[in-house]
This record gives sequence, C-alpha cells and structure tokens, in this order.
Amino acid sequence: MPKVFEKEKSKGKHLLLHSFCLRPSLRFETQTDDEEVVLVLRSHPITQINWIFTSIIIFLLPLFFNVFLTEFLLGKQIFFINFFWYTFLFSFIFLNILNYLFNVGIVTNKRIIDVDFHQILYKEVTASSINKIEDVTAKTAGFFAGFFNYGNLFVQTAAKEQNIEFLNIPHPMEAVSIINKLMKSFPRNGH
Amino acid sequence: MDINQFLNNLNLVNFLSLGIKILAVGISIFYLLFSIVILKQVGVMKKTIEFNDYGLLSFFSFIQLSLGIFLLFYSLFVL
Repeated sequence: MPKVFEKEKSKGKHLLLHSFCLRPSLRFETQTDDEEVVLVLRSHPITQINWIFTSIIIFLLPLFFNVFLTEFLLGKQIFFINFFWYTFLFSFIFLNILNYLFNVGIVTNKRIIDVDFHQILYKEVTASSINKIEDVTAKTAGFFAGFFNYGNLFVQTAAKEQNIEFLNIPHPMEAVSIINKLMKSFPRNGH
Repeated sequence: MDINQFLNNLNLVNFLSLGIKILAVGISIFYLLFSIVILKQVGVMKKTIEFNDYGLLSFFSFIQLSLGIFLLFYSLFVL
C-alpha cells in the first residue's frame, strides 16, 4: 500500500451516503490476497432525485384514483389494486437502491475496476492495472454538478484495452488526485 | 326465455369480476417470478461486491417474495 494512504489505514472514511469511500471495508469478487481497496465510488446521491421524486408521486396517486374506483369495483378488488400498486412501488424503490449500491467504481492499490449492473440483470466488470493507465480526466459540467461537486471521471488506458469511466461521482478532482498518487507510486512498464 | 331475460341472466358484473380475477392472477404470477429472479440476482450482486449490509438486502428480497406469494393467494382465493 502506498505510504500516502497509510494514515487512513486504521479506519475508512465514508462520505455522502457511501458514494465516496476511502479505505472501506469492502471486498469484491476478483480481489487478490495482496490487493487492498483504496477508494470506492458511487453516483452522487443528488443524481438519485429523479426516482425519489417519481416514488413520491407513485405513493400519492392512489389517493386520487381510489375516489373513482369505488364507483366501479368491489372493496376486495380495490384492496388488491392498491396492494399491488404499493408492492410495485416497493420493488421500484428496491431496484433503484440496488442500482445505486452495486454500480461502483473501485480503486485498489493495483487496479481500477468499474462494476456495472445494467437493468440489474446484466453484469459488466471492467478492470485495468494502475501501471497501464495513460491518462485520468475529470469533467464537471453544469450548475448542479458544480454546486454539488460531482462529475465524470475518465481513465484512459493503453490502446487495446477498454477505457474506464465513472459517471456522476462526488469529488471527482479528489478521486483524480488519489489515482495520480497511486500511479506515481506504482512502477510503470518501460519507464 | 326471450333475449332480455337471457342478457339479464348473463350478469355482466360477474364477467367484469371474472376478468379482473384472471388479470390479477396473471399479474401476481408475473410478479412472483420477478421477485424470485431479483432474489437470485441480489445473491449474485452481493457475491460481486461484498460489504456489510446487515442482511437488509436479502431481507427486503424475501419481503418482496412474500408480497408476491400473498398477491397470488389473494387473487386466487379472495377475488
């Protein structure tokens, strides 16, 4: 582990609902024995506002349409419709939470890993060694991104390998700084 | 029996209730299958990224499954 992170070794630091975690107690599937997780990144919580707002609307809608249903349907049928509606809402919230928790970017002392679960069912894991990183770029665009300090981080690797991107992460400049420190402490091939 | 008596005997309200019941059973079966898939997928996701969630994710998955079972039983035997 690079010396720059040794002072944080004793405990992790979790910010913004675990969207920016330094030295977290987290393991991942392909982690090797000598590999330690330095940074875990998730989308900034403010980017989740869309589905939260939608959930509130879904929660409130039965208050309006129940008034009309009583004229056409029996009580047990209205109960079923309402029960299914709120069950659907529960699933909607649960799936969005899963989407938030498991779409992560992981920076270890050896690699950078991007874990994506598209629509929950499709898993994509992209990894690159630190010594193969060519360039790290952070982009913050827009009023909300600037105000809440979140943006996109792009990791460019050698030509034949896939580039890695972390979207809507908090403190993108700090993340770049951490990766740069790791790159400096890691011996590069051919240099 | 004339045509009016025949139509009255059909009792269109029962047809609507039958249609709602069939639809409810179909939706419940679909939701139950969906909740089983999500339960399995949460296990896959937790294996990919391991962190301490205090068992909450599995708990909510089982709640979802239970809700699906309840919906199916309600639509079959109550509606």
